[in-house]
Amino acid sequence: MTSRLRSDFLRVVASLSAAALTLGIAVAVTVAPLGAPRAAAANLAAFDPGNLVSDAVFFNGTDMSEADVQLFLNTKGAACKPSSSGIPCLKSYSQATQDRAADARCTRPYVGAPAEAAATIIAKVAQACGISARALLVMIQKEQGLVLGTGETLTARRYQIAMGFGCPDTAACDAQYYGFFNQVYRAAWQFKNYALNPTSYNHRAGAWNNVRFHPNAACGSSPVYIANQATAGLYNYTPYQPNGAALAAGYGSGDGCSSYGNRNFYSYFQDWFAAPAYETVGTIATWYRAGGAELLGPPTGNQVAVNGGYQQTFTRGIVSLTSSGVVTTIGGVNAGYVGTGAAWGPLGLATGAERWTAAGGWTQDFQNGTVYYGLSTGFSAALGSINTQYKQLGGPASSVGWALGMQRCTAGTCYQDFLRPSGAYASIISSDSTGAHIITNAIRSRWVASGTTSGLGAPFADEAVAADGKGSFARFTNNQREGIILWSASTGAQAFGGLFLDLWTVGGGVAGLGYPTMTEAATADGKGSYVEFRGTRDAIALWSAPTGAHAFGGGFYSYWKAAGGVRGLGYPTITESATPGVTGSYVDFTTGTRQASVYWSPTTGTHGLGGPVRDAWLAAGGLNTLGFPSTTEAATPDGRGAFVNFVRDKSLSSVVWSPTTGARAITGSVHTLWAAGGGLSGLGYPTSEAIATADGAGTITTFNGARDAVVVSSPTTGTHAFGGTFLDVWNRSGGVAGLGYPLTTEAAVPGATGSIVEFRNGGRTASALWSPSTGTHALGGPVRDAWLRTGGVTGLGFPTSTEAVTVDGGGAFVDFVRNGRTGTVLWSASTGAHSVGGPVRESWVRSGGVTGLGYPTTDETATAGGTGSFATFTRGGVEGIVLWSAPTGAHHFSGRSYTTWKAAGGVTAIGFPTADEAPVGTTGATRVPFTNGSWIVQSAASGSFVVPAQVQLAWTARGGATGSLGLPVSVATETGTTISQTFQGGVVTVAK
Amino acid sequence: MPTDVPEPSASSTAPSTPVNEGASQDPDDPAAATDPPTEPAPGPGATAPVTVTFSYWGYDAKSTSAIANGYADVVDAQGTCTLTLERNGVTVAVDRAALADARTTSCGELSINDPQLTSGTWDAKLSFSSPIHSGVSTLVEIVVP
Repeated sequence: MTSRLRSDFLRVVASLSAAALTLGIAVAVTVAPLGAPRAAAANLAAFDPGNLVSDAVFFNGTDMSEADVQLFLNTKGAACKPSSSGIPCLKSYSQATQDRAADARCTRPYVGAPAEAAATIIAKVAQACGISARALLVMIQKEQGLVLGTGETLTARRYQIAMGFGCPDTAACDAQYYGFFNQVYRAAWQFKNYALNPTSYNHRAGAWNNVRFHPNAACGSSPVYIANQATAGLYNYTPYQPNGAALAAGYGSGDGCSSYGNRNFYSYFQDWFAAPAYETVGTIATWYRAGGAELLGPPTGNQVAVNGGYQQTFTRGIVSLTSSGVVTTIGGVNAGYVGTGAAWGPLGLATGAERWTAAGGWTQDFQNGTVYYGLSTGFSAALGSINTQYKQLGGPASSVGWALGMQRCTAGTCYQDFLRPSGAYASIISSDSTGAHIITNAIRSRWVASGTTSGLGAPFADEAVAADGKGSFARFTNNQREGIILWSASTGAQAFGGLFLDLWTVGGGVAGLGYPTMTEAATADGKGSYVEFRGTRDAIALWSAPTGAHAFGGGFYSYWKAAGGVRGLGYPTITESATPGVTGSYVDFTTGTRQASVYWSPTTGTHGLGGPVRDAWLAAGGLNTLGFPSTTEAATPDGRGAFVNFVRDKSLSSVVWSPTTGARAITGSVHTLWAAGGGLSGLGYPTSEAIATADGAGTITTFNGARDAVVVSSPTTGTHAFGGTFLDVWNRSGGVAGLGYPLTTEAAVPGATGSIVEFRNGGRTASALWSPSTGTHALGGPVRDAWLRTGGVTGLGFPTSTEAVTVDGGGAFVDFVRNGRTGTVLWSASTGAHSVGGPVRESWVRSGGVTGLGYPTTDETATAGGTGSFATFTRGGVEGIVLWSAPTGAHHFSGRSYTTWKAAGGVTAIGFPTADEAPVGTTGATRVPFTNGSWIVQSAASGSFVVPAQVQLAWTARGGATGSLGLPVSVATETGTTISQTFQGGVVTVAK
Repeated sequence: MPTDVPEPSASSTAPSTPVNEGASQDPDDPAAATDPPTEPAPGPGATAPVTVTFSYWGYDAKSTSAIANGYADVVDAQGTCTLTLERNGVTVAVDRAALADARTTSCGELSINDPQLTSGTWDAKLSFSSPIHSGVSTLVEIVVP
């Protein structure tokens, strides 16, 4: 070798001299003996330090595709394991890469990507910079050992300085070149830079160069004629050549002056790429000799044991050897197979020959799947259960069409897409728990849009026709949540799951809620989710965490939407349900703070109620008592409150609410009366429910409208309302224990300005009467009877006082007035009740009232001839009378005078008194004058007598009782033409 | 420096056996030390010594110039290389800004075409200086015809 070097040296010098360049190199160091024995190594016998690699090889940037590089790394790193700290093997390494613009060195731009495999980086850098990917692989190995590294030899540091770029042998590395991609790109760039600037760097091609053996300059150097730019570049990059000891050591260590970089570059390149001393053995060799060589060309690697068989690469394809025998992969199938990692990838070894299918492409079976190579779809591989299902469905020739690409897997669930002959897509999805099943077209599109295996997960079964034949569906499971996609022509394919699916299933599926018109989505308030359906009617299912999932439809759905949806009624707490025992249905809702219900019945339609109105309705017995709402909760006309009407068996009721009164139910006859009386504009808002009266015989409901009012009801008296001063009077009387239960509702008095309520307490009836001038007063029992006998309001008129005890305590009375005429009904136990009024009453009053004439024993009565009237009285056993006639007015008399008057024949005999009975002087006697001129004069001592008119005139003419005649002591007697009467002082006889 | 990867147990029948140890001499990688640093550390205020090596040298008759090239064993982008020829007390020299490379700093080809460069054997030296490093090569001879 030394001689060869020397002769080369001389030859080159001669050559250079001829070119007028004389390089005199003074070699001051010893050249290592190249011919020394070598340890087992790569083909180092042929090592030429001046020609480490040819330019044609080194500057071929397209010598390996990405797949080639990956397969190479897979092969070299087949046994590689990541380090214990997780640093990956180079075959599995990836990183983000950055864009690099094209320049004079790397003439094609490098487009960065978020995560690029090392193989991709190497192939792309090679292509961008025009540097051999093989050379880059060799450099990566010789610098940091990453191609063959495994386990703990793999460190982040080695990736950081993968090409040794910026790492001088005598100092620390330059951090600006750190990073795998950075290192590979920068090194490739620099090799092109050397070529563009051949005299700017250390070593020059086509000339003798003095090349050192070791970083320690004391180890010396030797002249090397560098034959090409690639070699010059390698020496620029690593300026040492191996000494004899290094060359003798193969891949091993030499001596203290040995360096290895360019030796190892040469050795690895030779071993890996340049010296394919590959052979075929055994079965593959037999196949190779029997025609395989013509089919695939020479081997490009040795047979490798893998997956229970063997694989060997050839120039034009790959041979797999399994129990199925020798199988070749070629062409597009092989290119795709290499791209998946060949035998080390998911397909494993080929087990069947490539077959052409009439569907337009090729298929080939492998250990773990089948390659489908459609003319229009290219390479695809289906694996495991997906492939099995695909084949069962008929494979590419079926309606499933050609498989696309490779299956994708997430957490044990895998799927593969297919292009159907129709142009639509299908997917087969597989998991251990579900098996492999197919979905197509719109259902598949929805499954993809819902997140594929991470969304709905894997189907339980193949897509199927829905029970009603109007659509199709597929059911899915993902992490124990079940979902479904339903399709129909009118609704498209929509998805929902979980509790919605339970609800839909329990509700009868497509025959119940029908088909979803949307995919499950979040509600407007973000607190839940919902799905809308269309079956025989539109419906919705709503879910929130507190309420669970419930569904309703038809009128309920319309009502809920109109009421504001989740922001109005909120979320359902039950699914639409039949009302118990009665034809109808309902849904309950909650907003979280307010409960509401919506009810439907055939007769009432759909109406809702909530909050206090609903509470009051429920408290009153709800459906069983008040029945269905017949109106939707609405504001009261005055805007102060809200109300809902109800109906049950044609019985109407209402619940009325206001902030001040709360919500109260009005039912039955009370409601009827309330409604008939104008409702809220009449009695107004109820302030109580119908509560039992004190004696338990009836109920009372209180109201507050323009005034306080009550409706009092009992079975015997019916239901009647009254209020205002009537209520005051009634309350003062003791209510049901006083006036008792109303017999009438407060009503106007016919023919008068006033109103009346009648009451009954046991057998006693009372009337309460109001007029503007008299106020409200009640009267009952015999007083009321007497008032009625006397014509009531058209007789005595309206009471001006409530029944009161008379001054003597012996009875009771009520005063009345009508048209300015005052009347009184007087009652005592012995006389009963009788009325007196007008002049008769005035006369009675003049007499001293109950302490005068006393209590009336008759109502005012017409006299026999109809020319006047009278009332009789009694007091202390003394009878009296008031007599009235138009000419005379009313005058009274009593006791003996009255007895005498009656005995004398009364009005028909002596007429009407023309003055009240009055004392006569101091005689202790009284006298009453009458219209026929007679007087009745009496005293206790003298007795009581009628003094006929002629006598009276004569007697009066003689001084009357205080005259000489004194008081009469006998009746007048007629004799012939005269009348005589005896007086205390004599007899008066006058002509008739 | 993380250059050469020897395989202590290498054999020709197992060319793809992974290396057991990286060849890095990077100070950050204490596990690797194939080629230990050979330069002493610089003293206070001094530049660090660096080895300077001729890679080729000679006389280019076509350009009637003495030419040489070489490098410093350091990556230092601020350096300058100087080629100096001396014969019989006559000294001629040329400078060139050095180029930092992957793991050395290249002088690039230096050329001297000077009337003083008379026929005879000249002593040539290549020196490198930067604010941080400096060094001078061993002498070589260039024969000017």
